Amino acid sequence: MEVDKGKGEAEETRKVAEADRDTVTLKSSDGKLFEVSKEAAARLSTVLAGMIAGGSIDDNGTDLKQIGSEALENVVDYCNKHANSIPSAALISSSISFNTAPFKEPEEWERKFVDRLSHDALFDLVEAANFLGMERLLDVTCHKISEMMKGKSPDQIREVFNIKNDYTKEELEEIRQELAWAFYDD
Amino acid sequence: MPASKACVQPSLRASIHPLKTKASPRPANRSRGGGQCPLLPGLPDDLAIAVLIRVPRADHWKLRLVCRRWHRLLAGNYFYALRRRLGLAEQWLYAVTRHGHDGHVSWHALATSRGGGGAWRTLPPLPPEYAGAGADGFGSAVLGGCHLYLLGGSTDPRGSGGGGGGAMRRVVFYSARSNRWHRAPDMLRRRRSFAACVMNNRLYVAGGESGGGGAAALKSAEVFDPAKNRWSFVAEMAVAMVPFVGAVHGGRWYLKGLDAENQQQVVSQVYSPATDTWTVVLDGMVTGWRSPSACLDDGRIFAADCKDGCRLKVYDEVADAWATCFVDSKQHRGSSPAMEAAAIVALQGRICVVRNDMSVLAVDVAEGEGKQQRWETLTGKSHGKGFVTGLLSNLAGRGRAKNRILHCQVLEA
Repeated sequence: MEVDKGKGEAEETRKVAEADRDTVTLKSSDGKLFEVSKEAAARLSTVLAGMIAGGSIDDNGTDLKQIGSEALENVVDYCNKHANSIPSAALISSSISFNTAPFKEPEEWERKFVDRLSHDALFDLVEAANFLGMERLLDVTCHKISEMMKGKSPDQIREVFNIKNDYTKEELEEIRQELAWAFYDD
Repeated sequence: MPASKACVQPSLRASIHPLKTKASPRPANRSRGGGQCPLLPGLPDDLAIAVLIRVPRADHWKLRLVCRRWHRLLAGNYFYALRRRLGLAEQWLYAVTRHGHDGHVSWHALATSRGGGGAWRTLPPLPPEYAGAGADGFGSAVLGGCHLYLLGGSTDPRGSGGGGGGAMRRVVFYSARSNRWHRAPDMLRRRRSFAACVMNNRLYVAGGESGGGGAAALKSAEVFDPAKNRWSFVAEMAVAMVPFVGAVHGGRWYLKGLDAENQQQVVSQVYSPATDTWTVVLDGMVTGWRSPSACLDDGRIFAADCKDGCRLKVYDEVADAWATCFVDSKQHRGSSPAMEAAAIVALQGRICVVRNDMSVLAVDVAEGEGKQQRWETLTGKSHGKGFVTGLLSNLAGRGRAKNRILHCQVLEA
């Protein structure tokens, strides 16, 4: 939207000059540089799209002080992989209106992409995706973490996610009673 | 960075998890902040919520047992409102059934979402007024997508047979979010064997009998507005009736039933909430219509075209007639009571046929006409203990020999 509004002619010429390069350089909090396809970055990240359209991309590496090198590497990796995969129509529409579009299951390659990540790397990637406004990546990573709770008991969930059990024994029993209503399968 | 930040902010509008103006770098800092533990250590709470709303509904009971904050999150409206807004809410089928053997009433749920499939699960007992063998003629409706209302009816085991035992004004509802039953305000009139529907998230009831002998037929109709938590009367029906089939179509409520003053006569009337008027109708919509029906979001209304629902028909507004549509499973099950299509419901854009043996067939009616539509069996007949004994106990000559579905609804959470 912001691409076609309030654009001066000077801006137009600069855009032509920029178009020579089809990649943008991103700089992590610890100073590492990463190259990513401009087209993919603009399509997948509302923030990078805004920066590209606004001309605030730095050829020497655009500072992303909130994102560590490992997370940024994963972001760039995701963008490049995404550029190679043929995006389904559903994927495109879901990135346009994330708020109303129904959730789409991750595709096979996206599954593989998040499956190889460590717990910490996954959590960092969620934050990076959120910071960069990458709704699809946020969707996929959050989905992955939610899947880590599948088939686990409350005890196991607490252990995996390092959550403190702040219930007393009595409280826990009370809630179990209440949940007798629910779908109790173990 | 400042330069890029300035242009960054406005384009974030589409994100569900707005950036904090100042991102704090590491979790350790965050957990100190408000004095309470983070929902998920390592993530800010807004992102932790983005994770938790994606956990499938069948696992929600476990989340509640993890810690107090998770329990509070799931007990609040925010969690489920967000699930709905993001298209993550899951629709499950609920059936209220009368047991073939002793006549008691129970209810069951079928998780149909995300490949859930599987089997019906019997839920803990209904509130006592609705669980007994005598519970009869009560209505059901769903408000707000997640509240199952049961209302009216009688607890007199003799049903309509005797005097004395009147109908109830009582209203209860189950919330699929809180997983609990609650009382709601009583209806203004005692009512059983009436019709209920929901239009514009208001619950309407009409007709039926007040029980208790004498001139019991009701001409009155009421509406419950959950926002005001109050019942009020709407216009009286054109004819007092005991409805046997009802449907909302095109913003109006169609009812077909027996004329109370003229017992053998079938009569149809329609209520328009816009004008608050009842009108007797004789058009094509009601003439070909006598079985349960369901409306899709696109406004088309479908009904079973034969007793077992292996064929569907659709109402054609232009021709003002019901027409057998191309939806035909080509698997006729006969017309025994067990195979009878007890309910037709719309579920995730598909039409589901629910039979008395608890088998559920879903068909995608949106697929091109003329082509073979895909029928999918969501679940076969129930293998639950209750149903097996129900099938074994064939009390000859009694209509209640087999299980019977009284109500079938879809609840979302």
